[in-house]
Amino acid sequence: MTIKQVVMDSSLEVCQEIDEILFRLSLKPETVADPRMVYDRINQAEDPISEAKSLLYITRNKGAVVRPCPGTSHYTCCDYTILHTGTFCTMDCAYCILQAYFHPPILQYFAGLDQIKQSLTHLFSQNRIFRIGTGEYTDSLIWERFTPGPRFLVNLFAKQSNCLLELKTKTVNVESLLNLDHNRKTVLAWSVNTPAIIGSEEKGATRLETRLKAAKRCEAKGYPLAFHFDPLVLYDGCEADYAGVVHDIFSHVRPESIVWISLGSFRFMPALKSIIEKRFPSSTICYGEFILGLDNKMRYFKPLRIQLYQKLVTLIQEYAPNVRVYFCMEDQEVWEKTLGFFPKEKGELGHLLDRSAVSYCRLNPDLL
Amino acid sequence: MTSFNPVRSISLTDIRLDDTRFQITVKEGNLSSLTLSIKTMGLICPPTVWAADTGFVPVSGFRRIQAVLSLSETEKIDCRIMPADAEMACAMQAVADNAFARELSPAELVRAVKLLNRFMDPAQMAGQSLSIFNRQLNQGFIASLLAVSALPPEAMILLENGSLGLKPARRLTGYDKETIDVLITIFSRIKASSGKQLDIITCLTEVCKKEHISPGTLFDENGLQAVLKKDTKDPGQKGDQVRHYLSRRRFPNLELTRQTIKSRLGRLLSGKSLRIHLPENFESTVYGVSFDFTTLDEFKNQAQVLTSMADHPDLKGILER
Repeated sequence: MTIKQVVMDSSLEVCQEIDEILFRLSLKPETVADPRMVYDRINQAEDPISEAKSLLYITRNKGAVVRPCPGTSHYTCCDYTILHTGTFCTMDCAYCILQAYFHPPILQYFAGLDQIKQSLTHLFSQNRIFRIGTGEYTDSLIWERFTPGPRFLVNLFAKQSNCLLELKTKTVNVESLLNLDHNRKTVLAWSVNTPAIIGSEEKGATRLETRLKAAKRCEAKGYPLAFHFDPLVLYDGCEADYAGVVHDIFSHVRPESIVWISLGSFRFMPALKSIIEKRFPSSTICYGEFILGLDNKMRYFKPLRIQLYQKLVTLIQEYAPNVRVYFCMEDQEVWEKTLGFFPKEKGELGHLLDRSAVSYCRLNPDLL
Repeated sequence: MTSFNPVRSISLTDIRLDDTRFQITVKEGNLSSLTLSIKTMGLICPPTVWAADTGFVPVSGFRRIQAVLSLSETEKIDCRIMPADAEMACAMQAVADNAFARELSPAELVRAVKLLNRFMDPAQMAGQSLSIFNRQLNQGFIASLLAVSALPPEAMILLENGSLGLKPARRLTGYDKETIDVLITIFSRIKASSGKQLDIITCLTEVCKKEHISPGTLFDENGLQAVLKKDTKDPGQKGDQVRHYLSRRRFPNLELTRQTIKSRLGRLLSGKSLRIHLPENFESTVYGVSFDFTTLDEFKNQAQVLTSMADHPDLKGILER
């Protein structure tokens, strides 16, 4: 969706960062003293979620800039660290949990690169490995088109050796990053899905082929890559389609360029279902065989998840036996029945991924 | 309304019993005790009628008027007369007369808001709900009752006789005519609680959306027809069978696993007084077992049974799922 309005927190001082955003969007900002004016405007719209996607609110992050991934109870988390640079997204994926997560959802850009630098400098000085991403509450690279944020981060991470930055996206907005001296500290990661799901459920996102071509360009510039099969959606013929996606990935990039591949099946807060039904009446994505999971999110009936995971893992390992494959939010049974082991100890999965990070991104191995 | 309207004796033949515009309660029931009471003690509380151009239209006290008529002892009846320009007040009184005597049934509630909607919108109704309905109703709820009132007459009959709950009826209003007709037909042939009706609605509509088939196609499936046409005197059992059929269609793998595990459990626990507790939806891997005992010997006995079960092939099958 196109950004049609820019609203700016009146306490922000115009600086080079904000100037660049306004220049690139070619929009005149409206200033507000109170964010509730933005909330009200969005809430009063007939479809607040769509409204929120076309209104950019530039403000300063008034909470934690860096925070641990909240994970979920009963399922194994990878101990990721979230860099909170913005919220929501301009693409309109039917399954997007952010539709139900924020009340109301707001497309926010947190201006203040100095603030981010300060928070990260603190992490850079610690004696441990951090895997840090900006793609938890937003798509990491929608911002590349009109903010200096992504390239600022790539440059910043390039100068240290204990933190990996993962920029996770469904876009192909990599142009401004290609010629940066990234020092392999930034992983460019793509969420991937089958062409059928991209076509029916990922409105505004790029085609799979286009994403993989962008990945290939980044690989050529020495960037480490990652792929996230998330959300995996079950439908008739999905196994063959996902096999096709695996094949397509390895037709474009070399296994040695891939730091990790994650798998996660579609799961959602129950509140999302009515939003999908209302906003995407032709979508059937929420009519799979879902049960209420232990974390009170809807998940596919476990044997169905395991069946698809087994097929995908086997196939990925045929193409890339050494690539780290992991699950996002799955339990012991799933891990053991698909990957043959379970990172049972607290922090064990995180440690496995840290090892990949050290190996692929040349982080300090002494910190493992 | 601050003044009381006069009570006058009017001719029974002047009362338009065929005009039921203000009638909230449709169930007539047995009038014999009311008739006997009027015969013995007279009419304690006069009915209210509206002085319309065409005659006196009953506002409240339909059963009292019927009872007096059935006595055939008099040609006149004392009634409180509402003036010709007070149709809205009549509507409010018709609802309040019932609502302050007892809680309105879902069908009465629907009929009441439909009647009042001729004179006021949901917001106005919500504002006056305490004085009219004897309870606070919000605007959204009133709007949903109005939507229910627009359902086909068959749905109102089901609502009236308790074969359709208010929540399922409200849910029905969100669907197209074909879906509503199919569901009404199903509910007219079974008995099910509101919760089960909601399950049936959800499963049926979601199977149709998922498989891109029409509700009529699903309704015509042999399996569903076999259940609906089953000759049973227990419509509740039929309701459960319809629900299970649709649940199997909606969650084929989950239901198949449930069925398989149930069979295995049956064999495993045959002749034993142990209970095995399965993880909900087979998501967790935690199983439970429990038994009762009153003496040490009973405990030892149960423990032996428990140990012997460890080698049973069905236990392995249950755990492997």
